[in-house]
Amino acid sequence: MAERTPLWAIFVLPTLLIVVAVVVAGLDAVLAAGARNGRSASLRETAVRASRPGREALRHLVQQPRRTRASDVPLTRIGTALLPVAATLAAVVLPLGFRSVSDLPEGIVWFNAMEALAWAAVWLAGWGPNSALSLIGGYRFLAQGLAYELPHMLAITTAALGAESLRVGEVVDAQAGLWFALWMPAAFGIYLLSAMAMAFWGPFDQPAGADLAGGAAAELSGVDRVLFLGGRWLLLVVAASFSVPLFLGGGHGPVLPGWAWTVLKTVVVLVFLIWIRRRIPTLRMDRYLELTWVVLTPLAILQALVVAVVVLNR
Amino acid sequence: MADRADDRDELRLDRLHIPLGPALADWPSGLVLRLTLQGDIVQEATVEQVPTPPSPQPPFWNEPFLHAAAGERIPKGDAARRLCAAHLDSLARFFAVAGWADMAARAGYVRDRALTGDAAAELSSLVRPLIRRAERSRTLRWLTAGLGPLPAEQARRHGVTGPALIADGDAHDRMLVWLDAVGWNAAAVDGVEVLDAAQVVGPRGHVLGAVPGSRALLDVLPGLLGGAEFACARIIVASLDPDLDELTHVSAAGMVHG
Repeated sequence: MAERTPLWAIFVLPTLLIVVAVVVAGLDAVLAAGARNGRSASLRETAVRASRPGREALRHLVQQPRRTRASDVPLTRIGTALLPVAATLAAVVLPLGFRSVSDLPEGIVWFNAMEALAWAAVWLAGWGPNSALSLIGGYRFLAQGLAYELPHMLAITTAALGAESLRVGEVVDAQAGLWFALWMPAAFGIYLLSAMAMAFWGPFDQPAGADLAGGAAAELSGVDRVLFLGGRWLLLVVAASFSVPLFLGGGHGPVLPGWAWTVLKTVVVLVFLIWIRRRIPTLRMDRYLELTWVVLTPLAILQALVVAVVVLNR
Repeated sequence: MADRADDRDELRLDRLHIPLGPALADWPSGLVLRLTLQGDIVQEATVEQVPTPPSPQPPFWNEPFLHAAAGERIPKGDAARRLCAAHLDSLARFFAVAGWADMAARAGYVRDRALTGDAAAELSSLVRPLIRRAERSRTLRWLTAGLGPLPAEQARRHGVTGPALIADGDAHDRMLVWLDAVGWNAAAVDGVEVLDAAQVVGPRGHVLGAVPGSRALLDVLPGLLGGAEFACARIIVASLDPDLDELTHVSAAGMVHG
């Protein structure tokens, strides 16, 4: 398992993440345009629709940045830059096939810690501009953290428990025979929910909700906006990809090489996440909090208990 | 700008005064709500309206109904078409505020198709999946039920006559009334009989009443907003969806007809 990873992987990783994020954003844009203007008439039109996120990003980059009065510029900057950085750092432990940039002995904890950085990022980006709407967006993400984080941590702990290791590589190895998703379905489901929640995406996009004119991102412009919203796509891609080594057997699979399986499974998860967002309106966190604390947390504990008993009797 | 006051849990918290509107995505244009917030809970709300010169133009959504009331021969199909589009327009805002971008986009798309003159069969086939999805969405019910309850009795007291009165309930009920109306109006857009001038009801209520439908909706609004969380407040506003064009027109009529 412990194959050495070449140094250039450090540079390939962010590039790869960005490429996947752009493709996913393009797919999402095609679906959104389909709902707004009907089915596209030609392949050309589809391509134009798919390129929209890219064009938007370019437009923001050349746009005159605007700034609110008495905004806290350094804090806003730290917040917006932190989001893509946190996503990329979290991806360091992601194995492509059976190789990751760094297979840390406590990789799962590392992932969770980097993902918690996103809390700080969104909060700072919302608080910095001195604007009521973005402030509410920042608040909302903290409430969201309270709602999703507890069952989420229990879910990833369950995967670690099943493999008896916090090393992501060993979690993958433990699934050579049977994927964790199959015998820990509750933990897998909870992980998928929290994957959306941590990227404040899909039914969990309230912190950046349209009712707040973009919420935490409401006042961001120019490079800041591209970094923040791009960082959010990166976070979504990373969160979705991490479900593959944790629950879907990583690179294990017949015929195809390991890396191909990883890519294939990641694509399936991402497509599912994009589809689900079109089906469900945004969840209000005051409602979701009830569900997580009364249903999901006990469920996650129960799941961990079952796994623990199985592991002890092995 | 922040002062402090007791909140609902008897803590002394900062109060933030912010205006919402007049220009905000998916917001009734021209409406200004002055909110006093603690955190993101609305403590008080007052309704204002951007001063606009009275317009001789009839409000777009009420047009066929006003013409019919003035004695013109308007085909029932035209009225149904306008009503269908008006409710789809309201629904688009409602879905957008509830965070269902996909459905909001779809409702907007069907609204445009309705206005550009699709036939009943075509329109119904577009509208049906939309209605089915919104009616069956348990999540939407879970998220919007219980917000801004407006019993029929209270609505009548304020002079509300439109869907909000029929709904006799919360934001989710009002949405269901719209969906219902969209369904049967979409099926009726081909109607050629003449609209009966005696009983014209526009998308927001009677078009000839002493108080315009939207005025009554604005009157009930502040009472529904107190204690609502910010997102809920926006859903409540969207579920009533007052049309401020109605107000400017009536004042014009008042001037013209003395």
